[in-house]
Amino acid sequence: MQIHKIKKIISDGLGKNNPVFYQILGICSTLAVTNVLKNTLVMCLGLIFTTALSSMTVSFMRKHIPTRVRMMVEVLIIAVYVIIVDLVLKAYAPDISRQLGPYVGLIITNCIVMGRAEGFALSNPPGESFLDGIFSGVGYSYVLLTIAFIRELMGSGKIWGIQVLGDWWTNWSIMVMAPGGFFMLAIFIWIVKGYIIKDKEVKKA
Amino acid sequence: MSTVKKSKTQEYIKTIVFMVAITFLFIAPLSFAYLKTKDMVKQNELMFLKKAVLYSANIKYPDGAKVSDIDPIYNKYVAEIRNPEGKILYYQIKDPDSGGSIKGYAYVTSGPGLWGEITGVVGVAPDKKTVTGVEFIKQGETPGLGARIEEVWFKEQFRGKTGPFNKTVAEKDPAGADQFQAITGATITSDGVKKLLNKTFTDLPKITQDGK
Repeated sequence: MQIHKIKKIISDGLGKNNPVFYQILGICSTLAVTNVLKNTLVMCLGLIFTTALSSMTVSFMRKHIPTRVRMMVEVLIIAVYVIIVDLVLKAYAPDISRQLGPYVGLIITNCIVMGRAEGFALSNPPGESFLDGIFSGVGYSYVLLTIAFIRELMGSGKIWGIQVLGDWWTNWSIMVMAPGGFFMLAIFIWIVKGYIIKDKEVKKA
Repeated sequence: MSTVKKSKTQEYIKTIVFMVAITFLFIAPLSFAYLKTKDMVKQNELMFLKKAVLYSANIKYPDGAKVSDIDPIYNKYVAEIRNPEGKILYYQIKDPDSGGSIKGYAYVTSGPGLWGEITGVVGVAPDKKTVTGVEFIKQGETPGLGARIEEVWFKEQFRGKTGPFNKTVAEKDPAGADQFQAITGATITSDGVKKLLNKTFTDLPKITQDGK
């Protein structure tokens, strides 16, 4: 692996080609889990784990998978890792597992995992695919955690479940409901695309 | 023409064989992981139910208690009353200090919430009206809104109340003996909770009489 390739993978995942605000993938979970910071973090860790390992596995097998069924194979691999995460949580961390409920299983349908398997792992070696999975996951995570931080703070006056805003604060119920997620995500994309990525595009042209 | 057809068939067969083989290959470790964790998962669930019964009967157990700590407390205070088929109908709460006389009941009740079924354990005194405690064991309500029924303030408010409940009041407003504070932004969940709690007061007197 050359240095410039690694650098590209990192900057793609975190910025230029970020799965959430650039590729607009994984929106369903961005809306669903970001109303409480704790759930968001576990979701992010689960996603990083799944994306990295499933990309690596797909990459190992990429020369043997018949093109026609490649998506079935990808879903199978992703599902296996996700169910393992779910089982481990259920057995060793039942309380967290109860709180997350169906979210862990929903990682299977997170477009980012599939997107990286399709878009990167099928045409790149395992090491790079693993890294790509990790940094796509991290790119997803910091966007979600930012949104979750604001939503939890404004929606319930708490951070990490601890009350930080006093009685003077009226909770914005809409922030913990799905519309709050839409608004926050849109504002986030607006800021990033309007002020940060736009500059780069202008320079390129 | 026929050779093209043959190679296509071969390709199909190859694909199918590949898919079957790969499925077995990946499912094997998964099944192993499932079997490995199955007992633990089951134990966790059972333990959770036992804790819920104790909580609803207002019997204290140490925080972070392990299975080995819960079981003796549970067996000392709780008797499971089953029907002839072996299904648990309700729980009798005994008072070990006065020769095991009944000091209450716990009943598992469920009903619809906003997204799905909510299941809770309701503890009542021998009059089958005074609530000793409520714990929710299964719910899939909106996190941050309906899911707040699992928060301590919400559950604790039921202790000492008298059922059946006929009204919910706004969060932080004073609630009478047959009222409780609903959750802001979760009207349907709060209403569902009221209904499923009220089932206890109609169901339990019936089955406890049968049980005699």
